[in-house]
Amino acid sequence: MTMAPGLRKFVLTAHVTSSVGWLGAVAGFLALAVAGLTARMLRWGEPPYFAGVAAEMDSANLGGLRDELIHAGGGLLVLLVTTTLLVYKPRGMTPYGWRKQQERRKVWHLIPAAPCHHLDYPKYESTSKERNG
Amino acid sequence: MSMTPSLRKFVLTAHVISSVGWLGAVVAYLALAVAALTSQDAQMVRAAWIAMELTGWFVIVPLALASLLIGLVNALGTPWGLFRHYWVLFKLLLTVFATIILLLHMPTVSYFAGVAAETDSANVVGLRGELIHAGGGLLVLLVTATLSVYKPRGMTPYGWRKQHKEFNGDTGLGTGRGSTTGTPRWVKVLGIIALVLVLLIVIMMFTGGGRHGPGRHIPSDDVGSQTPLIAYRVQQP
Repeated sequence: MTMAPGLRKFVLTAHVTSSVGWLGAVAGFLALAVAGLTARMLRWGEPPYFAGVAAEMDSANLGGLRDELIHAGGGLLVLLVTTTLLVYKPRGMTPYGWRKQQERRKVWHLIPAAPCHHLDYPKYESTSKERNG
Repeated sequence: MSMTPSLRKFVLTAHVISSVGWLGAVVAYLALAVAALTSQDAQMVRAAWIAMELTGWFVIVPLALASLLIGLVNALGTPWGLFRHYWVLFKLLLTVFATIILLLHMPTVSYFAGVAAETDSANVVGLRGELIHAGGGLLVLLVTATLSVYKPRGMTPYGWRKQHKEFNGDTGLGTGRGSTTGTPRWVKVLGIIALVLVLLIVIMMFTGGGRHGPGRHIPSDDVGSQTPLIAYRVQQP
């Protein structure tokens, strides 16, 4: 189930664009929530900045905006973590990953070179047993 | 001028977040413009202008400036360099171009947002300009994101010379990403497309009455009362 290099790069571009773009959109959403809250609390500007919108809605929901802060802020935090993981790619295989790798090695030792090693594929991790001989 | 691996990863994370986050914020901005255009509801149009101004000044502009700045640090702090590879050079030019257009365009958004906030009127025609600006920006940012992942081969003449100096123990041509001395075809194609688009934009700006920007939206008999509004909105963030 490995993709051709061209397709792989296309999918990677789509993956980065959608996931980090999501982060940017959440930042925009957060800015709107913060602006709404501060506008209502500080009542800046004369006439109030958001009064036009708020007045016609009869009651602008301030408590709802505070919820938005928590949701959007939490979302932003989660997306920052996922993006950091994306770049750092910290080591660590799941037990399932280990088993799969052992299965694949049986095939790999027949092939002299990895087919797509230039594509930044996950590097082979050796076991402590293998390292110690 | 090379960074330690951990610093490099940190800068790369910040670089990806600022530049692709910018793209995401532009998508949100575009959604507001499209929603307002399709609704044809005055209340919706006014709310969209106010939201677009906020998104623009508080998210898109900071992310654009951060993207440019962190991009410079990332390029100069790694062996990629800023002027060595065509794909990095293209990204720099596209980012600078997009940032300049953004900064020149934001006062127009502030003007319409000001009108929406202070009066009952809502400008629907101006929304079409938002579609063009945000749509164009999105396209440019998609190109830079694609270049970042594909990193197409091709060294600039400057990059070649630099590489030769660094590998002067080596014989003749280096073993870098560029394999031949000629300009790669993708550079020529992308360069021609960019040139044609810039020409089209310039022609459109001049055929559109020669007045492009916030000035054209202000009725000539009302300039005195409208100008302070623009100044106020621009200085506010």
